[in-house]
Amino acid sequence: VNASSQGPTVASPPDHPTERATAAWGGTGADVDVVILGGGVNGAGVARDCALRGLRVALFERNDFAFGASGNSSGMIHGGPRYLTYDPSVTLSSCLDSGYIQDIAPHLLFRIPFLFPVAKSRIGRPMLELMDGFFEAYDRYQPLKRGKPHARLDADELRRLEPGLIGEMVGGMAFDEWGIDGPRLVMANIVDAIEHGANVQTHTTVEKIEREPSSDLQIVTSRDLLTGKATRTRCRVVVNATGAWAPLAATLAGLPQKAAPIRGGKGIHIVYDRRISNFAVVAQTVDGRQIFIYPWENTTVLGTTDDDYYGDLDNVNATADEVRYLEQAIAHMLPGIRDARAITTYAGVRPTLYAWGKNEDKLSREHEVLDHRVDGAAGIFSMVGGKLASYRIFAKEATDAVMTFLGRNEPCSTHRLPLPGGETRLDALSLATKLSIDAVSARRLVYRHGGRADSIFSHRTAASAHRPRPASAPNGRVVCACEPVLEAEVRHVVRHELARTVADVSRRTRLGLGACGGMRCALTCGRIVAEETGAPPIVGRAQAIRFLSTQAGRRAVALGPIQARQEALALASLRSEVGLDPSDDGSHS
Amino acid sequence: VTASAGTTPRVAVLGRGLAGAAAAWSAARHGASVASFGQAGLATQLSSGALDWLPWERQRGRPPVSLPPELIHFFDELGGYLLPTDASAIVATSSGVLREARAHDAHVLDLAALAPAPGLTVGPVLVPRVNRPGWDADSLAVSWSAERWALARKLEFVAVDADFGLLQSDALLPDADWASRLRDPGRLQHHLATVASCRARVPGASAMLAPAGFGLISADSAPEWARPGGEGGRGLPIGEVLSGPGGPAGARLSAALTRSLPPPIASAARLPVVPPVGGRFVLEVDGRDTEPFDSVVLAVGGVLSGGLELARTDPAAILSAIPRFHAPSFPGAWIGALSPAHEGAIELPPDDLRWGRDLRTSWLEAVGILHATESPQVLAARDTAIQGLFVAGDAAAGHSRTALLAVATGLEAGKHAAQRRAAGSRSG
Repeated sequence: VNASSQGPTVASPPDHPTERATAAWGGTGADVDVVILGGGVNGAGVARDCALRGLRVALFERNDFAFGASGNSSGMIHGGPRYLTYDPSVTLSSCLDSGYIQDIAPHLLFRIPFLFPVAKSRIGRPMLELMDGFFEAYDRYQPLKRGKPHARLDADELRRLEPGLIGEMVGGMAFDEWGIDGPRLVMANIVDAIEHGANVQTHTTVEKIEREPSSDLQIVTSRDLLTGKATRTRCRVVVNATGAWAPLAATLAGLPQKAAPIRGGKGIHIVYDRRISNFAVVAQTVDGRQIFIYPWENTTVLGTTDDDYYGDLDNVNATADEVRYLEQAIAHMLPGIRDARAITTYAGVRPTLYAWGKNEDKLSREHEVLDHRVDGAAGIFSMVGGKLASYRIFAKEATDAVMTFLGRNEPCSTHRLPLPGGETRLDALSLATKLSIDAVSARRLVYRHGGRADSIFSHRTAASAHRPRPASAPNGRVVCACEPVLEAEVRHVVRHELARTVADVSRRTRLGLGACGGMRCALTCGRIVAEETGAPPIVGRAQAIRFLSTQAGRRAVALGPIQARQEALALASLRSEVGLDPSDDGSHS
Repeated sequence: VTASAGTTPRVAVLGRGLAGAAAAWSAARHGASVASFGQAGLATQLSSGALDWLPWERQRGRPPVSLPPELIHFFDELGGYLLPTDASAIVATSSGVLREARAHDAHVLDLAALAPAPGLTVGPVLVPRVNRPGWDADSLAVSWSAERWALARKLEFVAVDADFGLLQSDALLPDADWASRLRDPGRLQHHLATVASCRARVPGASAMLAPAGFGLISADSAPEWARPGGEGGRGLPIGEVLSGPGGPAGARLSAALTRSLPPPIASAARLPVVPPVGGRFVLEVDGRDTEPFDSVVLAVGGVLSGGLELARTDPAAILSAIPRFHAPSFPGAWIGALSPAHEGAIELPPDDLRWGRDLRTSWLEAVGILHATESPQVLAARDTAIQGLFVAGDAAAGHSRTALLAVATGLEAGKHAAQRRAAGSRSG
């Protein structure tokens, strides 16, 4: 018994309840209290909450943080107006939580003013009256999330605000929501979890969850997909926070898929090379669904679809018919979309709660924490359902369940304690002056890293000591000119945010997501990643090519034939410079 | 265009890229009166500074073929390109790759000339630390040194400090603009002094590999030791890396083509190719018909809108005139032939326009109009149903994503077009 206590353990703070709990099991030495599967917003939220409440946490993510729905949503921290008519308590809690997220991560939120035009028709007028009443009710919740009250607009006002709008309108509504960069929200939670002792691994898949025969412990076998190295972690609780992967993840513990049922709904977005509207604009699709378009940084984002999805979750791609469906809907109101160039598409699968016999749009966006004790697997919990805006409260509920299971009662503090970067405010312009970097870069840095944006540069010097930098290359060397992303930030996310590939860097920094699709920066980024991770240059190059290849595939579905030819020519030209296929080992005489 | 029909053949060349230039040059040499339409092509401006015979990843390890004398002659007249007759050049790219090229821009450093075979002792190649976009001398030096070709020759790339007097704002200049700055004698002098100081600090250095734009030194003004492609062992050759789209190589090539071509008749007009009337072609420029031509060379590239501003339906008009051309092809499958039966605009199902995943050959596959035959040499002369319509370069593609092939097909098309006079005149 004593021998086993010498097994791998993570040191916990002195006089911490964990030690007493460990002693109570007879010294069987769990490595951690809780293992979390999944590095989406829910997994990251649970990791942070558990770590803040003093639990020892390990998190395994099979791909990368925000790889699934969290990183591929519309990025709204909305107040849940759709619940207002049948369950106002959900709207209340959504608005409250939106307010909390603003408190803890003020740097990450931005206001998205919406316009909702109503077309002239037989029911146009009554529709407008109904909407007015509806939004009047919603206005009562808006102060909770610092939202502005709605405004009723006539057709002329609409056209003045949004000159690109066409068609006969009876009027419309303006209302207020908040947007967020999904991957950055996930990263902030992850970084905080790490800073509170969590052991977090990306590109690491869990292969098996077993009950240790002689104890109540779970043994989680995981494998690093980049190095092939396997690890066993002994823990007391497993939280399955794998989103759309939840049914598959449940099978790793020997549970049936239906123990964590999901009805995955695929949603795609298209990104255009310019801003074609001043506001977010709601439009109707051919089948009566509501979609919207909104300006984001230099681009316009159009979304989204909602279709049952049964394909490969590691490989979700928009298709051309989905692109056409969205474009045709928005072109009715904003024909300018036809002149814009699609620079990429992205797709994700919502982990919607399972229900039989309903249309995708009618499925509940609610969430549930499932205790698999009922399936004979005590200590294993699954998180199903949920949406980006409700991640914090969902994580709190899951952590509460874990705490109850462990017999502990530290309260949740994730609504009070700021996320990394949210502690202090930093002025982008003074940062730009101080570091002599481009003002736009500085603003993006402050958006992504909040009050910690300047710390990105302080890491830089130490690790570059072995490699003298040219005096002419100041802090602001730009790697990705479109977005723009600085070299210092690329190095920072490899060192401190667990980026291991070019695609990982892109997710964290938006590198390569601008108009050129990474053609001018992916290879540079690959070299930096290889250098930072100690890999040979060819590894970074191969990563860059995979990234470019993926991006090309995502663009291809949104291109017309002529643009596709131009695209292919540009790519062929790039290949002449890069010169190898993803599978190439780089050998030539 | 003064020649009268029946005496001098009249050839219309659509497109002013490499293939179009070669076709015009060749047709003129074969006695035709040539009219050039369109503007300098997109593909040409994307030239990276290397000239490949086959797409380079397909030619790796193959012994270089001998190039047709006409092709060498064309490039000699164009100027600025070096075509080794019996060997491939090895060039470094700004992506950290060393690769073969059949021929190259004279400003690009040929490493094969430096270290022709393993076993020779070659001093390090200097890589100056310069504040230019995408130029990280240290990591590039590591990357090039790790390439097999360099390892086999123990050829090392070494980053060195070099004060070329760049301002911070210079980092934002496009390569081609930066290159033009070296025309200033003061800058050039400082530039050369900096190279000399680098050379003095690293004894035994064999060459300097500089960012795109640094090689644009007038050969007359540079000292012998610093001339591009200069003297291997004795001096310090300095040359550029190969860079991607937007680099100075494309600008230099475009400028050379513009010099060599007759001025364009229309640069941005709609030019539908109408079916021949009486065996001769009438083009529509700015709403008016041209004098009839005996033959037409279509050299508008794989990017149909690149050389000419074509209306949306015009590609269809052109394609429907060439029934044996196929739609863009992606690995493994034909999407289906475009035939004259297709009326109106061609809308390809975009779902089929997708790059294959994990397919070696497919990563960045060409999307030009694919010719039914795979042979790179085949020209429309034999294959089109319409006599007198010739296709050159990427428009006859499926294979031709290389400058040398574009030129070769252009030369061939120009020759055939010029020789068609008799037939055309008879039927006209």
